[in-house]
Amino acid sequence: MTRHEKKMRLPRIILEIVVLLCSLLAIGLLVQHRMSELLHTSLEHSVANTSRHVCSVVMERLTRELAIMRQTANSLLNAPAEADNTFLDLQRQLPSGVSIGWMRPDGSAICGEELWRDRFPDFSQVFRGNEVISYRAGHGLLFAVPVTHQGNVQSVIWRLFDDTVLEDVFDLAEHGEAFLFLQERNSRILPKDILSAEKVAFLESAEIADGFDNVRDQLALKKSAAVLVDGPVGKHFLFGMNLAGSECAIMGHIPYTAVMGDIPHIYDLLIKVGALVLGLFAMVSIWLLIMHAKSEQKEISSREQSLHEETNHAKSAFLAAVSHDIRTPINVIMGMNEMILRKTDDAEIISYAHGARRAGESLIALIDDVFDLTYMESSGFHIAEKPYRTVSLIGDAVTMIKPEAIHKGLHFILDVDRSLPRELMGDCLRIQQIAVNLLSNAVKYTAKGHITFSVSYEPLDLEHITFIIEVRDTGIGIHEDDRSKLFHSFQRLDPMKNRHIDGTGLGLVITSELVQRMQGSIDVKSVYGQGSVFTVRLPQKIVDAEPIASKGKRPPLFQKVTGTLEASGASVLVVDDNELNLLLTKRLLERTKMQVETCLTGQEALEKLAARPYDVVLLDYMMPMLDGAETLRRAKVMPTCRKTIFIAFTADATEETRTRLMEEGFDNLLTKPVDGSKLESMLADYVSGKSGASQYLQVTEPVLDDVELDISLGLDASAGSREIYLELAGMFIKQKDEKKRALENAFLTKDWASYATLVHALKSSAMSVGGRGLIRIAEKLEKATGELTQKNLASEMEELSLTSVYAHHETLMRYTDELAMRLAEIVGNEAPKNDF
Amino acid sequence: MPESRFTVPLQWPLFSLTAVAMIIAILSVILMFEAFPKRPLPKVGFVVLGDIHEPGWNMSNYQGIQRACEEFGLPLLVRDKVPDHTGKCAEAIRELAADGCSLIILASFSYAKEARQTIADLPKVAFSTMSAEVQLRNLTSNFVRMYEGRYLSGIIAGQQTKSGVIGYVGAMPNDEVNRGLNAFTLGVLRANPRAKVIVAWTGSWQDAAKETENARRLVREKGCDVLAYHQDDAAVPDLAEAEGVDFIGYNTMLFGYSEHHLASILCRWDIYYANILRRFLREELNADRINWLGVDRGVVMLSNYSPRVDVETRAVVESARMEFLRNEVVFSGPLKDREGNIRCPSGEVIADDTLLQSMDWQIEGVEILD
Repeated sequence: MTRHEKKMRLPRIILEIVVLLCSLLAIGLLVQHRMSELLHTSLEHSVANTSRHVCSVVMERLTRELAIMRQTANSLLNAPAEADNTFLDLQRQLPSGVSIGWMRPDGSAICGEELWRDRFPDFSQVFRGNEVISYRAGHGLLFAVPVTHQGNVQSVIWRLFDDTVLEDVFDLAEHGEAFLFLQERNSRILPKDILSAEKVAFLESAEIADGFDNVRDQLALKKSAAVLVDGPVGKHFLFGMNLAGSECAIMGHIPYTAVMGDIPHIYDLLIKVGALVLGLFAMVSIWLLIMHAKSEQKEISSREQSLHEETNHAKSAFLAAVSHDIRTPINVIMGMNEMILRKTDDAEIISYAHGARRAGESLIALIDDVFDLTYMESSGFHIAEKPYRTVSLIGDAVTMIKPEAIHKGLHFILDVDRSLPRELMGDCLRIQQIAVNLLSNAVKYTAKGHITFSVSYEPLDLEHITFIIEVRDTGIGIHEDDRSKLFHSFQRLDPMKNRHIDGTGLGLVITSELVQRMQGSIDVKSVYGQGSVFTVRLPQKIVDAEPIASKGKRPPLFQKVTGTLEASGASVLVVDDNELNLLLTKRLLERTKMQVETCLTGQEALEKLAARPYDVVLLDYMMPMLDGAETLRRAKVMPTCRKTIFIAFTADATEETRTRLMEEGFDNLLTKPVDGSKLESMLADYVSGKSGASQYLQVTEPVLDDVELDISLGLDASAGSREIYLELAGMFIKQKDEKKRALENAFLTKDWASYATLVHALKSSAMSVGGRGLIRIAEKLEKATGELTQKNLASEMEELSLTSVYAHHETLMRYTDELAMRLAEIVGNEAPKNDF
Repeated sequence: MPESRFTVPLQWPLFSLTAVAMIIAILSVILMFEAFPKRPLPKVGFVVLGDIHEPGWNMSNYQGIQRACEEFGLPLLVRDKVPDHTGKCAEAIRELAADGCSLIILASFSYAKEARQTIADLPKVAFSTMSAEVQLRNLTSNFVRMYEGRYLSGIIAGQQTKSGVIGYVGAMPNDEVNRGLNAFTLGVLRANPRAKVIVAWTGSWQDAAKETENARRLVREKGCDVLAYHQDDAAVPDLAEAEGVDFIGYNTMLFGYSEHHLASILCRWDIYYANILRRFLREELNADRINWLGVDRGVVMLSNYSPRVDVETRAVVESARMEFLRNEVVFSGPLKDREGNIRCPSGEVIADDTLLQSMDWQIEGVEILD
């Protein structure tokens, strides 16, 4: 939808811009048109007004001429005797082109030339005693005054200027850039005699003639008028003015440029500046539009972001809930299984329980996978770096996978670079996860052959190395085409062929994600049908550069002290909505002899807490009705709870959760499924001061290698007594060689019945000292040899069992030696502390 | 997303509306702009003696100016019933000037003389009057050559008379009446050189009883068989009808008379005023001190020919009219007055100014009824 809208927005912005530009253009053109129109009208006015002044000047000259003639008339009246001579003198002085006459009212000439009365339309007015100025194209400009005696017009004198002399006498024609000429009112006749052909052609061109018609029309009711005409030789102003007192007008034209002067340039400048300003305006508008669109987009994307975050959060919450709901029953199963392991001495049941535990663990691992991936995809995931021992990292991984591989009949080859630094800095758990993922994948997709787990390194500098984990298998391999899909969520390759293989398909995705988070790289080489090699390279910081192979510095076994706690004086309240969980926890705490009480709801817990003080409250975080946080909040205000320690039970063990719970006021937290030893050690921290809290029995945290020595398992078998354990250990060491020899004999003679018995005994011994590796291998051999002793065994089965025996016998021998060696170390170390 | 889908359609029409409003505003500013605020049309003021709805001089002048103003689309402001010699005229002029009149027409002979100072105080207002007694830069006298019409009617009278005696009822022997009487007489003599015109003065422009009495005397005592008159009312036509003699009408259209009504001398006031307005608009009205308008301009004409006026007579009248159009004049020499003095020698012409101001004589051929 967003993309669609974005697509829609672009054409809309373009449309907006186009519309804007068009409007601006239209307005610009309109303004220009309107401006030139106004300018022209204004100039027409101004030209018309200017022509009035020209008119006045001309009128003045004409009036002066009349005045001279009036004077002549007077002199004729005053001296009638000399009149003829006077007039003849005048006539002689005349320049060419000017004629004069003296005539009677009946038209006959007294002196000078004759003039036909009707030649000039206004001429007759002079016979009524009025002065006359009259013009006729082709005839010239006539001045006439009456000679009046005793109220009667005796005679008339006139003076006629030809067109040809008008220019000189009255300053008509070329007048600067303007051109002037006389014309009768309402007449289009031009004084062609005096005009050049060019001028006539100009004046007679359609545009100019029409323009003058327009001027004449205006002059009917105006003193002066002007129009702008775009003629054949550019723009011209045509103008005209009526000569008052005569039926003629002065017409003229002047070029547009002469009137305008520099105005067009200024006007051009204005238009250009205006256009630029409009352009700028348009640019700013476009910019604003774009900014607007951008900010909108930004808003949308930020909204999407927050939505995404919300979704992630919801997903996390959902996963936490699911994880809790799944872990709770597993928790119970595991717990019950744990109880079985503790309560029984029957080796067979113990081995079943171990099987159940493994299944439970793998189920938890599966949930962890799903949870990990989604957690990684959401924010908040980070790599927690701390120092770790490389050996324990490798050992743990091997411990988890090797039994499976062996169980599946695969050769598991461990190839560790002996010069690997002893301690590195990094996220041990995540690296282990990577290794385990790759290894379990290899096991899953390899039907036969071997799996090689190589751990090596390349030094980067003095403080850093590249930690290299390589897992090589002889499995089905990966198609070239499928390699790109390898690290994508929920992609199972070759689904038809691999449908029998379980798993979420998330392993490699998580792995590659983790590698990336650690700035490492993952590489796959594979030949389809022959096998694959996964290589992970991770940069790590060196903490202890001592090679792992140096025997002299084996870490002390009692590195971390945990304990088996007995505190009969302490009181514990366990709150959980799951009854089985309650039962399990109660059982796990039985050994501590604490006063354990349980309840199913927060409300119930609050009632109990109000009744009496408890030392520790184990509070399930997720409960219906009143949840852990709310129960805690209410309990905290109770006076009875002032010294009470609150520990939260939660299925969700992320850092985030821990921080949140601590903020909410919990003192600590325990993850489900509840681990008995963890529970005890944690309680020990809080109730150590309590009466009856004593008898810390120190045991080693199991250091798992091939031998998988689990002292706690041994201690269980020894009823928690160290002395017994040490005695059993000594016994194991003593009997080791003898048992080995007997087994070797049975193996060589293929006396599988004896072998089965012997290996069972060895398994029991191993169990009593906690040698899990030996137990497992012994179990397999026991089972295989047990099958071999059966009658009518199918030949395929027999072969399979034989292969298994041959494959594991050597290992059994080696494990026995190694276990004995380890036990010897313990016995040797512990011997001086016997009085403890 | 839903929000943005709401906000965008809401903003878009708002933006469009604003843009359209802006464009309209810009366009209207451009189109409404007037560089030259249109100068209001000049207003014409008209001052007249009597009621403009009263038939006669007042009404015919008013209708004339009204039609002329309509022709040029000029607004007309009228002040009627302004009696002369009361100071009301100056007051009316000031009012009209205050109302924005740039041309004021004084339609009575004595107004200009009476309001001389007021006219001089309003140099930007153009004035038109009918008497030549006052001379001011912004005042022009526009005269009608009514005498040309009288000359033409004189021809008819001369042709029509059997007795050779024509009666003329005149108001008083002033320049104007004399001018008309002399022209009439010249017309009569042109048609009938042996005829004579007997004038009877009433002493007033409007005195029906005196006019009737004079007319009756002219008919009964002098045997006049054609009557003409120079009076403001129509008492003479009535008497002529009653006496059964022919008569020439004057100044207004006459209706309901018999065939004795030979013709009427008419002044086309609409043409007269149109001419004034045209010259006013060309700003040349006051360029002339005096302006004459006659038959040549179509201002003066004859109308209402009676069937008794025969074709021959009409042809003579028409030829005389054509002479006017050719700028022939009525008063060209030789002319003698009643006493035999030469007023205009042969070959000379009486100047317009003389006609206007010095026509204090009656022409040869005129007799005065005692």
